[in-house]
Amino acid sequence: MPAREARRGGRRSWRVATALIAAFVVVPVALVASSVLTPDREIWRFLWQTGLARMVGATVVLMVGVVVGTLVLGGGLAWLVAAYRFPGRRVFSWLLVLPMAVPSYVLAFVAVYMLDAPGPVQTAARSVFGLDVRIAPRGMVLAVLVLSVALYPYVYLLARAALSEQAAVTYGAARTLGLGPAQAAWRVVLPMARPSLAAGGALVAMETLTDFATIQYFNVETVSVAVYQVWNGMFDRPAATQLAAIVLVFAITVIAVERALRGRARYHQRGGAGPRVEPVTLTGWSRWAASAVCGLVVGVGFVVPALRLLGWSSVSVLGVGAGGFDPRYASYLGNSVLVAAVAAVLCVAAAGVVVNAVRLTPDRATRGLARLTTIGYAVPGPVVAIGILLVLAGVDAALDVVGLDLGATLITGSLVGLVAAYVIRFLAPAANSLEASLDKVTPAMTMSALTLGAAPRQVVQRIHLPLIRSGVGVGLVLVAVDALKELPVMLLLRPFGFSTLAVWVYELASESLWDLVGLPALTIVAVATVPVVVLFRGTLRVDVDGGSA
Amino acid sequence: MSAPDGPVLELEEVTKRYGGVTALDRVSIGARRGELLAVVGPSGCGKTTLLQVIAGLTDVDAGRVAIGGRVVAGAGAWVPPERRRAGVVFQEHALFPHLTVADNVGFGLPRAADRRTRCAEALDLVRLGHLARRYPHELSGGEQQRVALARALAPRPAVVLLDEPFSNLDANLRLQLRQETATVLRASDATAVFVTHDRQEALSLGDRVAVLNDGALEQVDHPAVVFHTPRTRFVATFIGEADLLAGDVSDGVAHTVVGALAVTGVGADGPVDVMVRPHEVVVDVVREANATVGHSEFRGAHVLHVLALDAGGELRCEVPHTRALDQGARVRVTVDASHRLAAFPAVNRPTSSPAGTAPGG
Repeated sequence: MPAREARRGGRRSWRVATALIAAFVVVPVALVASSVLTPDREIWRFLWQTGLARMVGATVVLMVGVVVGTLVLGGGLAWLVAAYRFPGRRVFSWLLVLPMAVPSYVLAFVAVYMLDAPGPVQTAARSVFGLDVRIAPRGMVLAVLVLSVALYPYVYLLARAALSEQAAVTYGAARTLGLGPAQAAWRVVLPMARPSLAAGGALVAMETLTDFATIQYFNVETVSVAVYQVWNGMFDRPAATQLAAIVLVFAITVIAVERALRGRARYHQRGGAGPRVEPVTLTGWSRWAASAVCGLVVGVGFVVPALRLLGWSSVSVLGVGAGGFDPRYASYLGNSVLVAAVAAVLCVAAAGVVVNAVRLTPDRATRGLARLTTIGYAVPGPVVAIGILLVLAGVDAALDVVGLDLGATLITGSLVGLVAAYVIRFLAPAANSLEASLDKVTPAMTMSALTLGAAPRQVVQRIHLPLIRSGVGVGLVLVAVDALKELPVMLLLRPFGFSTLAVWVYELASESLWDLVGLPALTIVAVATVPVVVLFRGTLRVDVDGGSA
Repeated sequence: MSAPDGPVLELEEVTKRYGGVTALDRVSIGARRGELLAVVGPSGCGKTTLLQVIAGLTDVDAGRVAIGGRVVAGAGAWVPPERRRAGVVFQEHALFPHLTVADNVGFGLPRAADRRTRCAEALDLVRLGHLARRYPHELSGGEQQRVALARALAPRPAVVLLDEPFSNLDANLRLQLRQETATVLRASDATAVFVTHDRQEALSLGDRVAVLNDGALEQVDHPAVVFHTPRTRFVATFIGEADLLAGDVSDGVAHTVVGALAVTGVGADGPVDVMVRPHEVVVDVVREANATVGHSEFRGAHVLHVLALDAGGELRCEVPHTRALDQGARVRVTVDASHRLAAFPAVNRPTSSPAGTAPGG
């Protein structure tokens, strides 16, 4: 209805665009989900014979283990920093997020190197203590430990936010009612932080479900590993789809558990300068123990890996070792930058359409559609990847019908699928940064511009965009960094013969080519450190003598 | 286009619901060219919704809105806000922080040769020409408000809508800007709808005052008429301090404990409540007393006394501070309004009970 559309002043096109983006995000996931409803007995028999039960078991154990590990680490450290005063507290309060910059697959191979029989730890044990140890660092326990150290910052961040909000007042009230610090923490703070801890745990569970690269170093086989092996080894799309559906069932279970745990406390008001938990000053040995615990976590999660990578890369860059500088570095870096840049621009563009549509047509339908566009962040990577493959296969078949035979180029020969998957996965961080920025543009400003005669598109160009430039910048950086260090989706969807830094790191580390792996891995860690420092250094500061901010 | 004296703005039976809440309930109202219509009501009465409906920031569920003779909402029509020629001055002013004062004012003007002239004209109107190159954050609250007004007036809108434009300013500035805004609006011959919860503001600014309560219009009239002859009890008590005095009407005269009062607004004879405002109550210490002075409230130039009537009930009375009374003093109370007082048929009261004041003063 062009006439009506003209009278509505171009609002429908914003809603349609939002609906298209929502469909783009939801359809691949829905295709995987629908495959649960159409199980193939042959495939299931095959999967059962190849050890499906064992893989499901391993998935459950890994997920529960990592969630518990990150809750203890992240929640405990957040409480330590918020409630106690000890040497280095101010610095540690934000240093503790740094492990976020080390992708779990990097931390994993550094751990394997350090703990392996020829590695420094066992060598020291043999030479210093005379122990005859030769243990292969493999197995579930190590996988859980490494992933816990890599992923605890998610919990730490959410727990810190919760502790600096509502908990402080009630903690004080509990103390005046005669409870000791530990009692008050257990009976008041923990229950109140529960929604945040549940949200953090859910995030960690999703990251664990997404991962299949890290845990392969430890010979742990989860359903996600199976998706990768079935697709990459056999190109068996139906079987990979069924496996991805199982991953999706896990994800939905996680969301259900999280909903149940956080109860009705769904929304958090980020408070301003409210009262804080007044920290207790630690004395004697316990103050140094607190510093030591924080130092140990930051050391294992960031400093040691970073130094180790620095050592290896100096070997290759200076050409001291056998390998020397590998010329492939430049071309893989170029590929990484290309994919990251394309993903960042597309995500921010799509997010720009969505957040502006919500502002300009604030009806329930548009808001609902907008919410759908960000669900990709909570869907495990393998599910998104297989969903994209299903869509591409459908498009390919449709093109074949109209006589456009592209062969396998669309599915395995182009960047289309990869970039699409990245847009689905990373739309949420882009939308969040644009939204946070657009919050500063009051609805009255938008309405003023409209009533002064500016059409919606002009309002976006003349008012919104100039005012949300910083949010656009943050969104671009966040998505680009996420895309640069992302590995599982890349491994599943990269075109044949296409490689990036992350893939190269994974392959080199699998072959224990340590001198070569240093430089690309260090590059990823260095780039990933930038947003972590920029975003959290300011917000996680604690006052010298006050509580946490 | 409408006839020269026809209504520039016309709302017909406009209804707007949010979920189960009816924000506007069959509201019909109009504004003539050059008129300043003040819409007043308590918070949550629907007055902001009324502005949004006119500006096109929200759609109507039923009824019709016409601006300049053109239907812009209702009956299947909907004109988006950018094509309604309705300028809005928001409560928080909503200036664009990345644009200078001149660019803010020029925002709604087409890129034509006279853009700069018109922009300067609008700024001169609010006497801020010298601040054209400043940015909004460099202005005081009052200056921001005047820029917002100039920005809304610059494109010569058919109607200007002002949403509590003074509520963000401190009390002294508010009085001054109120008069200035009225002057500017009259100088630019703008038709304006002005929404406020402040009855003083409504009475002093509006050519006509519309009282909105719970989404429904209770009365639309000249300020003096709304003040002296409110049509409902709500209007009586909302638009000014009022006590309701019980009485019995016959032949347009209500017989009350403070004497016979000429009333208006009741059709049949019978029990009524007569509205009396404190400044219409006269006290006399010489004649035979019929009330005792209770507690008092000092208001600067005036003092408000609460009088306990011998016949039962209370009546408030405002006197110049030079004639303030002592607590416990015995006085004679009469009413001198020099106009017929508003009266409302009494509810739930037998015919012959002339004593005291009615509840709900």
